[in-house]
Amino acid sequence: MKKEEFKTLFDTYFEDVRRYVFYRSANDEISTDIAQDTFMRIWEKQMTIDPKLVKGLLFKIAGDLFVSHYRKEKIAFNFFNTFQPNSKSTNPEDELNYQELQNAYDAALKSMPEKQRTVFLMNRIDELKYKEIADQLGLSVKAIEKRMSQALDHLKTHLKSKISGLILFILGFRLNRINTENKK
Amino acid sequence: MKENKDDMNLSAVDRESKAFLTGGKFSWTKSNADIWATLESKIDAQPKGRSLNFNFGKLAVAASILILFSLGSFLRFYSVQIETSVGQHLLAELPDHSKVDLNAQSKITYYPHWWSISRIVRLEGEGFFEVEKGNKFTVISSISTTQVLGTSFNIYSREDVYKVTCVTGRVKIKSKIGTEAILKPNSKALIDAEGKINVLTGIETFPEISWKKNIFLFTASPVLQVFSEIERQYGVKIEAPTDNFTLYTGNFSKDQNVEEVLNYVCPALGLKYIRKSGVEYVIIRENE
Repeated sequence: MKKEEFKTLFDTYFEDVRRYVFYRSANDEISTDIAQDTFMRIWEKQMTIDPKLVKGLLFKIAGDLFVSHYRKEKIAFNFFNTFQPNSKSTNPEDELNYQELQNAYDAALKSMPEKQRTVFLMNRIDELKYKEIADQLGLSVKAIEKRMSQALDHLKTHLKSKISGLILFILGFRLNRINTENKK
Repeated sequence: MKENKDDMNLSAVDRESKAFLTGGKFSWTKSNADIWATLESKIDAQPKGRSLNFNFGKLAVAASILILFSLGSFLRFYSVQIETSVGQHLLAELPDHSKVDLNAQSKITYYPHWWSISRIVRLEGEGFFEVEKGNKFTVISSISTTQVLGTSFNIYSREDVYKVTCVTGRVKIKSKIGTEAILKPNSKALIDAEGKINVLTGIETFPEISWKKNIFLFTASPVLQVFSEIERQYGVKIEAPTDNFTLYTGNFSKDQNVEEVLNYVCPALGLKYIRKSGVEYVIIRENE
């Protein structure tokens, strides 16, 4: 592999790999290190990769590196240090609600099993279809569907207790906004 | 009713989590550009880039090839040497019962495990070969190569002198410069140091192979060759003037002792010998 090809590979997939590890680890530093090591490994082995399988392969290498390095360590869960959710409102009252909502999500995602969280965030943040997630993780669409519904169930249970009152307000606010956007 | 409410909750969570998470932004501590810079410096530091990655399967294949190769080499190159010292005659038998009579101070080398594939013998000195019928039988010496199928012949290969005498069958000789000759029975070939072959036909073979019967016949042979032969047969050292190119015709038998032989040879050439010590003799001209 020439350096130019490697650069193209990096530009195309580095972000995806880093996000994938981030969904599993919720830790900026670890995700960055693992993604970097993954690419270094591809370079060192000078692999010739079928373009159709490259993303799955990168995810596989990254996943293996993550497991072998960090499975037994306690990892700081810093999801919202790195990820800023959808646009914040400027209204001070909304700001407060937003912080509460984020805290609730933080706790819910932290307690969510890693497999469910990864699939869930790939679908929500990267907006990937179940089929795409299945291909990249080497799983069946059925498995992805199952993990998604488990993740939503988990979220429901954990959000409900924290934001029973709040959610109605936020939902009202958000759904209104979505409706308005759709009408545009 | 309760289930219905639950379902509504679930789809609400679905919608709500989509609204909250989709379209969010990442702010990494290290940008992609920073990381590329790090990777690039690592790549440039080790431009070859290929790490040694031992794959066990490949290793096993390599090991098997190595073992087969070693075994092949062993079968091919494992050699047996038979050597005679001064004064010693020996009858050596090769794996296919071909026989070699080795004259004194001679050596043959052959490859017993490779014998059935090709019959090759390396010879230094003099030997009389009786070859069993079979594949090509090759005798390699420093000056020439001799090939036969099944026959008997004598090879003399010492220093610069190379003589092949064909007794039965057919013998093909090839000098190191590539000239070839085929010998029929009762003929002999002499190859000089330059590789030129000189064939003599219709000769008596007995003088060439009489050494087997401990009789040494010389017909117009350089006198230094005669003294070398005496040295070899009796295990003595003979110091002779090297500028003597006289030719000697005569014979001696190994039944006689060395002084008897010298007494016999020297006067005929106008020479005499002085015994220097136990096994050392000096040859000088009679009138000195």
